[in-house]
Amino acid sequence: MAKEIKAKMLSKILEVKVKPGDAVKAKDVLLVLESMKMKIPVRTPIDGVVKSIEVKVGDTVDRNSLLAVVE
Amino acid sequence: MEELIKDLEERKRAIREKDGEKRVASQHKKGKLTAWERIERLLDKDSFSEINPFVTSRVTDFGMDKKRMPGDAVITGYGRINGRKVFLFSQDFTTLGGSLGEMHAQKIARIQDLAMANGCPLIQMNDSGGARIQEGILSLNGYGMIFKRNSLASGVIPQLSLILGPSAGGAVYASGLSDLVFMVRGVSRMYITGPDVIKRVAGEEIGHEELGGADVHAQVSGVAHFAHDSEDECFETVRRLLSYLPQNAYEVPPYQEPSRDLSADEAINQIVPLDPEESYDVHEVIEAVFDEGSFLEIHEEYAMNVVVGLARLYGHVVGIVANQPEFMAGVLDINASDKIASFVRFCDCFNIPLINLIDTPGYLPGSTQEFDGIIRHGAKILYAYSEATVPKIVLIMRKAYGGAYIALCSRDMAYDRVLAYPTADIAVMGAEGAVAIIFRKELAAAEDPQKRLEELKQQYMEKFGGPYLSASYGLVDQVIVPSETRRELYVALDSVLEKQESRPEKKHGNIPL
Repeated sequence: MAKEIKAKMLSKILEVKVKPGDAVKAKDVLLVLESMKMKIPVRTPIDGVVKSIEVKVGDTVDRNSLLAVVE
Repeated sequence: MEELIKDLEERKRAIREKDGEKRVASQHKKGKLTAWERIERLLDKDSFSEINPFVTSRVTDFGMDKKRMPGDAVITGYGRINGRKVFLFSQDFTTLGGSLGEMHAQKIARIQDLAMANGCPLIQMNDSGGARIQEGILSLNGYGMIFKRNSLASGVIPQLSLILGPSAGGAVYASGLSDLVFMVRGVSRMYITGPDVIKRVAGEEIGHEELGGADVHAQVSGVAHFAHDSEDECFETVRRLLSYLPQNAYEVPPYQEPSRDLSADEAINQIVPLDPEESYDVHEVIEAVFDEGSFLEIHEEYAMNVVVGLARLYGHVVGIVANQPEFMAGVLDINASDKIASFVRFCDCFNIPLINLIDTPGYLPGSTQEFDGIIRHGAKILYAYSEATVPKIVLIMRKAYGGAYIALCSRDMAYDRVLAYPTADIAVMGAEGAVAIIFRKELAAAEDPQKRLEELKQQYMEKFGGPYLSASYGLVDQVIVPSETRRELYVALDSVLEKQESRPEKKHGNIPL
């Protein structure tokens, strides 16, 4: 089952740590965002493979923007 | 006499088994346990006593006289969990879909009355299609009878609701009025109106699990406090949870021999990063400070920017409210406000002291939050803490700014003791924001505004940052070494454990809702 990972709040993308095709385990960090002047890791809730990364470093995203898909 | 005893035994057997295997199989086929199996697995072995097994519906319309069954689709009674008495009901989906009719409701109401009169927790096991339509308004009135008792019992005895099948329509409010709601993935579904009605009225297509499953209520709506993969896991959590609670509001929570002494743990010095931009998982602090493995998180997947739950500190039960810097920077928003306020009031009802672990940049700015009423929701935190008379201790680990400082740390508002780490940063707002406002003109006129900003920021942080200015005002009681957190929190708790506080007498307050 594919899991869409979305931004929880207005954020800037600081780092993308995985690429499509990478195998990930639950709680692995996919991206690092900056919001409220803090670096926030975004983790995958499930084990699986990264299907897509929808953002790049420097992007600013709104709440609920799609960041990545893991399946 | 022997005849009569035989007759009684036969009657009881018939009620318990009904037409037996077929019903059990139909329940198992849905991946569910039967009402009896649930009782047996939840309670201490052989501790259950049933009440009113012979009660039967009086309604005969629509051929109900042929379908009705003794017990009226619900088993009620009392038993023990970890040796302590609880009252419970378990709805039987295999009889008339567990539907609630007049007598079914009366049985539940009687158990609620007994739980109240005896000062024991009430456990509601829901597996019901809803109101028994054939019994019409008598059925609806039955819900009213139950909800009133739920409301009056609130704050007197713990009320736990387990959703172990459908719970739809008005029936959901017996859970909505409970202290804690437990759900099981793939088994539970809870909604006011189901997918069929939604499709008819609103044209929206949505499945049962997506609309009212365990994950939805545990992650999105916040209606469920716990979501489990199996009924057995769910019962295990209920049993564990009750080990932290007193039987009623007039008792103190059970003390347990501590699993760990109070010695310092150097590793704690490294958890909170010095860099204010770095985040960390506040669970690390909780695990290191409180009794080993004692943390039972509530609302684990809802509003994860704040972490709440029960734990033990040197054997004493405490309620923890901790900002989670790793999720949304640990900001306070509407859902976090509701989560905190409801947990604080739950703890206060049952004499559970509160410990706040603070590292938050403040309330979440934005029009969505304002339009949805963050003022009204955020006010609940202030109200709940001010109202609470249990011991309340604060540890400021890092950021404590503005409204969040007032709500979660302000000694004069609500707290018995305020401790801080040397890393604490207590201010109206972060240094950059403050400097930008105070020195707006100077910065605008500066040759190199960015450089000047950095200089002023540095000066500001030296003067106002850190815990010592607040400590000099007496607003921080003590600055502590992180490795000593366990001892310091315990000593602070111990000093206020027996405090007595009263509140003005009134009918009841008007908490902003």
